[in-house]
Amino acid sequence: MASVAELKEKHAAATASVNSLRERLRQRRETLLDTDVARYSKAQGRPPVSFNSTDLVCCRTLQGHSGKVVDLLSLTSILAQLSLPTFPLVSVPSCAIGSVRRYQFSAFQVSLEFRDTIADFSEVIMCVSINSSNTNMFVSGSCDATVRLWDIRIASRAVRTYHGHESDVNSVKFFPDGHRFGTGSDDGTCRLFDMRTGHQLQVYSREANRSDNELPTVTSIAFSISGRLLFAGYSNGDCYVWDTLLAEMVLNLGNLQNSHDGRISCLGMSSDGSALCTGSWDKNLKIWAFSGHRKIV
Amino acid sequence: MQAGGGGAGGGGDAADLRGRHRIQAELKKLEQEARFLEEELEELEKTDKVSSALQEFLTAMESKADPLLPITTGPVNQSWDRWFEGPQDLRRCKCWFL
Repeated sequence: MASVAELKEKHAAATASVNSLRERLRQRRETLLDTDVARYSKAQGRPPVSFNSTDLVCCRTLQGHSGKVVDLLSLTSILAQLSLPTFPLVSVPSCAIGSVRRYQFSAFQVSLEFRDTIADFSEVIMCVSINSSNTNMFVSGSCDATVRLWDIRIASRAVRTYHGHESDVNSVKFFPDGHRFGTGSDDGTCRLFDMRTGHQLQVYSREANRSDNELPTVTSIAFSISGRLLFAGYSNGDCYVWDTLLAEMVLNLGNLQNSHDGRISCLGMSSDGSALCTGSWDKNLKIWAFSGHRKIV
Repeated sequence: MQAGGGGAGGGGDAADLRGRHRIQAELKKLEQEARFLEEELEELEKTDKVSSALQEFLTAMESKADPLLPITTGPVNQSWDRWFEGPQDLRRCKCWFL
């Protein structure tokens, strides 16, 4: 039996080995980052998305909440899964401190029952997103500035960990194709990652305000149905519309007429992609749709 | 095994035993993580550069109709503009969001 001193020695060696491997991984990843989405798209001559100020408008305001709206329940994803014949009981990951728990959703009862814990680690999990192309896979964003990919068939071990953010990851959403995902963080940036390779494809960062060096944090994100637009709500009330390809901000919904009076705290896209829903600390939900002239090519 | 370990600890009190078990658990976790990192490193040796997958990414994105874009590919769905009409039937008026 090893003594405590020997164990401590082994522990220190193992820690050093893990840190060295992490560094090697980071360096190897850097050598593979020969470009990013914006540089590549510009080189390919992709034109930017251009909005007039009246193209995206608030067409409905939903009132009724007596407090801040903090999250939009993904009802459609749950209902869509229920319709799958192979899943009479569907697992819905739900967010909790330090773990992602699985609940059974009964087709015959409107109730959720705790089943088991499928992801467990020491950091606070802020958000999850289920992959619509493979509902066994989901990603979680956490307070250790990482995003983790989980497969509910693999017990309690993250399939992959994605590094890049410098602070809490508040929001994570799968890209519509299910091969990539976007993130929003307390470090003020949104990022796009490739799920399979782990590459960080793009960083969407805003410039610091002249009067205040602190960047507003990202509270929530959503992609348009093609993925060309990335909507990002910030702690200062802004809601940027990013051109995903060129990494340029093309519109700020927070500045538009009829926008929210408080921080936009959650975002959701309609299942056909025709409208964006924003929820805010001003207790309202708003629906935004395209009202301009649409050119079909 | 744990009890045996405690007995064979040789002068180790309860706190010492707890400390030993904690370090052993952490060590196991670190060794497991090192294995996963080595696997990831091996995988990365066979992974292409970022640019290799971007053409497919752009093409797939641009071939999908997007009702929120000023310029998009078809087909157009008339229901995209339903947000600017009044509800047809108030009792059945519902909107689902992802």
